[in-house]
Amino acid sequence: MTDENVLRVQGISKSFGGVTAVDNVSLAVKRGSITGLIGPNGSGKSTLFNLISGAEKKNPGGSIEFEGRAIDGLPPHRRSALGLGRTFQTPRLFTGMTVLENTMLAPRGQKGERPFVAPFRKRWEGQEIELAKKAQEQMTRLEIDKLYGKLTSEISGGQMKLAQLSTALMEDPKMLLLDEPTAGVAPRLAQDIFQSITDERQQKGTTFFIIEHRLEVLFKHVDTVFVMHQGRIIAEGRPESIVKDKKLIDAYLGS
Amino acid sequence: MLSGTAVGNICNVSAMLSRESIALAYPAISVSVWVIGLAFAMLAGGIMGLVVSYPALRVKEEWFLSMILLVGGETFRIVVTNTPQIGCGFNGLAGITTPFYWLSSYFPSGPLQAEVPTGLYAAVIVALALGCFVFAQKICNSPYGRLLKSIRDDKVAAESLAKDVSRVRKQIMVIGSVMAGLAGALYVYYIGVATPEDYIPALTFSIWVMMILGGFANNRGLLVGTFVITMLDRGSLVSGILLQSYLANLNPNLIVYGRYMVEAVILLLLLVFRQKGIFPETRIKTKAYTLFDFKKNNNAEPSNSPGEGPQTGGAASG
Amino acid sequence: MLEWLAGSILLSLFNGSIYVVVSLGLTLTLAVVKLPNFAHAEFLTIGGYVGVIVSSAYPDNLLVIGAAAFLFCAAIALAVHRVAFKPLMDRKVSIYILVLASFAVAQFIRYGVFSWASVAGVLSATQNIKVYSLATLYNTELTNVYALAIVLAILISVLLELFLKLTTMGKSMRAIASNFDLARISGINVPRVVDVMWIIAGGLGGLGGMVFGIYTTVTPVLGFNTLLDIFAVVIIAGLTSFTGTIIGGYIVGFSQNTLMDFLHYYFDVSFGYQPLLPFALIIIILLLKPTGLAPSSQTGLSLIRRFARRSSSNPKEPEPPKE
Repeated sequence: MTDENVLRVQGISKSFGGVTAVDNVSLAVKRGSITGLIGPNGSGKSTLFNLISGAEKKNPGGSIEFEGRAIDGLPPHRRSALGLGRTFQTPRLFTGMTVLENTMLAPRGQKGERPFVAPFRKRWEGQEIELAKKAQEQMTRLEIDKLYGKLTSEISGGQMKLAQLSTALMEDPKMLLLDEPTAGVAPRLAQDIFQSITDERQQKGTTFFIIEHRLEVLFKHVDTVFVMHQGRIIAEGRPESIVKDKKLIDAYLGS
Repeated sequence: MLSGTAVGNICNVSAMLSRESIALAYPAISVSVWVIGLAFAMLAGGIMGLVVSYPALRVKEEWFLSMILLVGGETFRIVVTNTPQIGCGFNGLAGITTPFYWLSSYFPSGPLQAEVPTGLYAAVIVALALGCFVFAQKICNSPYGRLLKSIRDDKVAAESLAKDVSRVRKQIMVIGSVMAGLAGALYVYYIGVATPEDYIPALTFSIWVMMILGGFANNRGLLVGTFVITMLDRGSLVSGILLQSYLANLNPNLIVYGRYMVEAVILLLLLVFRQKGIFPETRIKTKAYTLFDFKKNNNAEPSNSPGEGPQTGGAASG
Repeated sequence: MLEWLAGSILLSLFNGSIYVVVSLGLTLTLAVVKLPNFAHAEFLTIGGYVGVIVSSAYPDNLLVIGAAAFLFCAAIALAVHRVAFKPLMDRKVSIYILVLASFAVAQFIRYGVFSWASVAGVLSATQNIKVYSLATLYNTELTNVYALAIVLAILISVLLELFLKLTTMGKSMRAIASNFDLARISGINVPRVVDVMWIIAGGLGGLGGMVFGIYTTVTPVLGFNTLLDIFAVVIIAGLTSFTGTIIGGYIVGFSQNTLMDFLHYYFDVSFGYQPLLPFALIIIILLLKPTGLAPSSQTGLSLIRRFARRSSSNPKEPEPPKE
């Protein structure tokens, strides 16, 4: 069955104590699209991502389908194994590891990740060099290749964002949830990040679902935008129409 | 099944002596019992690790894990102490000889008679320890090592990269427990008696100090830490004996207690002043770095041809 | 039949009371500084030995002996905090490091006591306090030690509750427990409150140890042998609930005595396995509630909460929820 939507969310909610962070949200993301998710701080965007990736459990009811398959019962690592990658708003990197090691960790199906294959270097070294080349290209594109030997606890916030993006892209996901990929990054680099996102989509057909506050950059690259406000999706459309909708922009800036 | 009387039969002094005489007379039995013993110890260690990992990996807060492990260890000790069917209870099982005990019949009575079999066995232990070290080094400097470190650093982020965290944790607990089981068996064949009271929490504590002294996640550092703490242990015993010739009424236990206190102080000082231990953590040494290091050493401009990386495996990239 | 029951229940109440007194100190530590202090049980040992020393000079003078045990252990706790835990906490190290440090402190104290006791020849000692029967019920003697422990547990629970609810210091302590950063910026003298917390925690440990030491022989492992029992109590309590600690103390006390006796007389289980019962409690609770009885819930375990509500004679309310 081919579905033009890679991700379908039907009526999911999440409350913390008495506060409803995500309130009966339904949305669909088209395969191969770059889709934006905007909204004021605290509108539930990151929580929605957490529900989709499985980092948090949704309230009972509603469904999350990825590639036509219900994933809401799966633990996070299984969801990610299906090709649903993500990054975090405050970068979650492995701080005891270097930038290169972080990036190299991401690819799935590494032979050397099995404990009884690991001692036999010859059986995984070929793959390791392959992946290292890919990592090098990736890191060069994001201009973090010179940081390869630095621990991720020693790099700047913007560089952390880039390292995290580089790690997520190395996973070759079918769909990637990016939580504010350009926050804390220099404006020129923000453009480059979105350029590499567009390139990645072109080359591999990856779907991107992006939370972003830099609307000027985001709107240049996205196909569709969802606007979230107080836990609800209040609008959906092409960026041009969203920009024109004065009320929405007011709601967004006003809160 | 061992009935009550059978227990008496394997635990008493005559059984101990007959075990020793069998070991002396039949080299083949002696060595094969040792090999089978080690195999069972590793198996039992692995099973124990698997069993304990079940609750240990289902707790949320980090420190619950250390408590579950403490509970697991104490449970085992209490069960063995109170169930004579397992290992002759509190007094333990004596008359366990080294696999080379039979060699002593080839030597005239004298120091050599005792020292040669023990020395040979010590050499075997060193060799096996080296083997474990090499194994640990290999799995640490591999994608698996990367996986382990990532889980240590951030479990949630590792899961978001499709890593099956609880499976890996279980694996590594089993691997660690198999090694610990091996170590325990080697030790018992060396000292000749297996009693539950030898394995008190202070022993676990010594192992922690060795580990942290050398440096977290640094196997070479662990060697140094082990060396230092073992020297402290043996050194304190030797100096205790030496001191006793000067101080006639020195309580020998004070040396042991003093050593435990010194270890506690070492650990506290390390935690306060140098958490990294003597040797900081190192990079995971795989070929991945050679690509980058190569570039750096040549001081080249960012090159577009990644194919200049050394070694094999380039074929599929075209 | 059941001639063992009355004695067993009394012993359960006694043991449970000791656990309550000692564990309230640990609960306080967990609530205020979030430290699972594995050295807490060592205060019990020290308290027991202070009892041995002071009772030889002031036989049967419970007030003097108790005060000495409380004060000495409070001083030790304060010293341990200043020397070991405070430098680490100021650096905001992970809880894993703090746990390791508390093990180191425990080991240092334990073998320090061993060294002193072996030189002084008191590796196994008794306190000079007369134990006599107050009343006899169902062929079971209610001795003064039992009565003392039970009264002390009630008294300490009430006093601690009043202290936390009514005094400024107690209120500050609760504020720190519920939100450390907020408490600091709202002008509470955090270091001083934490010092007082350690004094109470250590003192209660010592007091409990001293009373326990009247009943049993004092040895350098007196505390260590109860370490996991005390942790079973606070785990049942969901780590930071004082009501839960009181209930948990008696649950552990009853499991170790009445339940153990039951298992022994009806299923022929050897008394040697007795320490396993609190272990089983730890494992079962951590498995039933794998979140580790998060401090966000009022009493941790809903089971306990329901139980607590039913026994409404209990004068205490659960702590305010921690965020």
